[in-house]
Amino acid sequence: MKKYILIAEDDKFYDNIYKIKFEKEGYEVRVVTDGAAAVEEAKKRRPDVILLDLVMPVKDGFETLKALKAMPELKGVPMMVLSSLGQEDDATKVKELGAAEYFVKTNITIYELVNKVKEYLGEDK
Amino acid sequence: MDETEKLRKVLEQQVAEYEAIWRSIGDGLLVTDQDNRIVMINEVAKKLLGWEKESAVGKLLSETASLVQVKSGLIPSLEEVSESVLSVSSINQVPAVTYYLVSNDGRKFPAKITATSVIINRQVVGSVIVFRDITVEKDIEREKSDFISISSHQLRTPLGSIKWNLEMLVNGEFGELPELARGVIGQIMESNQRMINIVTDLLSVSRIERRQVANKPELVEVAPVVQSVIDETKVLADEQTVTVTSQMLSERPLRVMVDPKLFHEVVENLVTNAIKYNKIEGTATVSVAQAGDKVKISVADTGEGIPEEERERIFTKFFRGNSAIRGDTDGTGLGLFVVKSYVELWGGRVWFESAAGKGSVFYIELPAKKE
Repeated sequence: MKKYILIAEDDKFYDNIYKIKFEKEGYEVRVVTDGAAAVEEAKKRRPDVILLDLVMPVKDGFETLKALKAMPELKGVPMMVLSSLGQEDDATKVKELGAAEYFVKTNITIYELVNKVKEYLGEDK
Repeated sequence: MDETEKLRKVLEQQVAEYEAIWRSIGDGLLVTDQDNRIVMINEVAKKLLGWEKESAVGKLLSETASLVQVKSGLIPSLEEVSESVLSVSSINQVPAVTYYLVSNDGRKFPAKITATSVIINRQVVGSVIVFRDITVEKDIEREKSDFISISSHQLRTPLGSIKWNLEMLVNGEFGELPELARGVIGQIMESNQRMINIVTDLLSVSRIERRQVANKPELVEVAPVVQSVIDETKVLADEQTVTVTSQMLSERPLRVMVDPKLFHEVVENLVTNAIKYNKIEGTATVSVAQAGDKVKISVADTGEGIPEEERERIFTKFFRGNSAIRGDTDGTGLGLFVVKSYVELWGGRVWFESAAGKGSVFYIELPAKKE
């Protein structure tokens, strides 16, 4: 069975990239455009990895991360936060909230991101 | 009119002139005696400090207003500002520093304050404190900084998605591309990266100006940082035909008290400059040496040197020298501004020497332990 990646990202261009790239890599991808929807989706089915944008409508990345971390059924699911801004405080804050990784989108390549996901899923690069 | 009458007229005239001048001063003005008691206070000061109804004359400075120093978070008293000039026997001026003044009626406002000693017969008899409400200037500064921060964020989002799309495109994820197209995409990627770098620099400046730099100093060994910067800039150095070497002028490992990430950026900026603004087949040398209880790092290049008329402005943000513009059209003029800001954040200093046609040496001196 395909591994399932849940992604919350409100920018349609990123949504598109995530879908194309991760599906090409053989994952099942579900993209939602706000944090509250991500929590709803995670309730329906346990993802193998969750990627969260930081600035989103309804529920931002911090709030979403908090809500997801509070769900016992998601224990052990790696959650990564991706931001556009890259403020040091944000990195510290999301790590404290239990994020596995924090990336500034412009500082990594799409391949580095894919490899990180694979690493957390225990797959060969 | 007899002589006495004449003299009285002259004196009256003079007093009237001085009074008129005194009243026309647009900044807040306080004159104290050597015990820090107010001798004179002008209308502007009365208004700003909330002393319009009762008289402040004869009161201690600290009873008149209180002070908060923004930068260090210290809360000095107005006395300290004036005392720093009262204690010295020559004319001594404390440079204008921005404080927050808290007036008698509890209003807090940012102010630029200058204190100068008053000297009669070689004796300090008091001080003159001039201050100005700079709320409007502060607001403008903040709005400018907000604008940079917000617009940088808005710019970064599309730049990031362009980057990822191009990466996939150039890697043939959507089909093999003709050679020419690959070249063009390579150029688009380079331009895109340039824009990302500019936005990153702008964000750094905005953080420096809002004093929001994430600065967590710890003891960092210098040599490995220098080596990693040299490794990372190898591609650029090869392109520019510049050889970069390092010299460790100490037997034991030298450590400095800095934020590791920001320190890496400082060294990187200096080395990148030494590569970019160098001659063909030039050299760039990074030296690290102990200097008393500090560590001195120098970066020497064999470029054309910095012309006399540009030297003063070299650390100013957005400044780009003429030769710099010729040598590299991509620069933002922010590198050295960032270097200086960070180095000073750690209590260090930065300076340079330059000789026309021979090159320049940039020095940074950093504390080797906790201050």
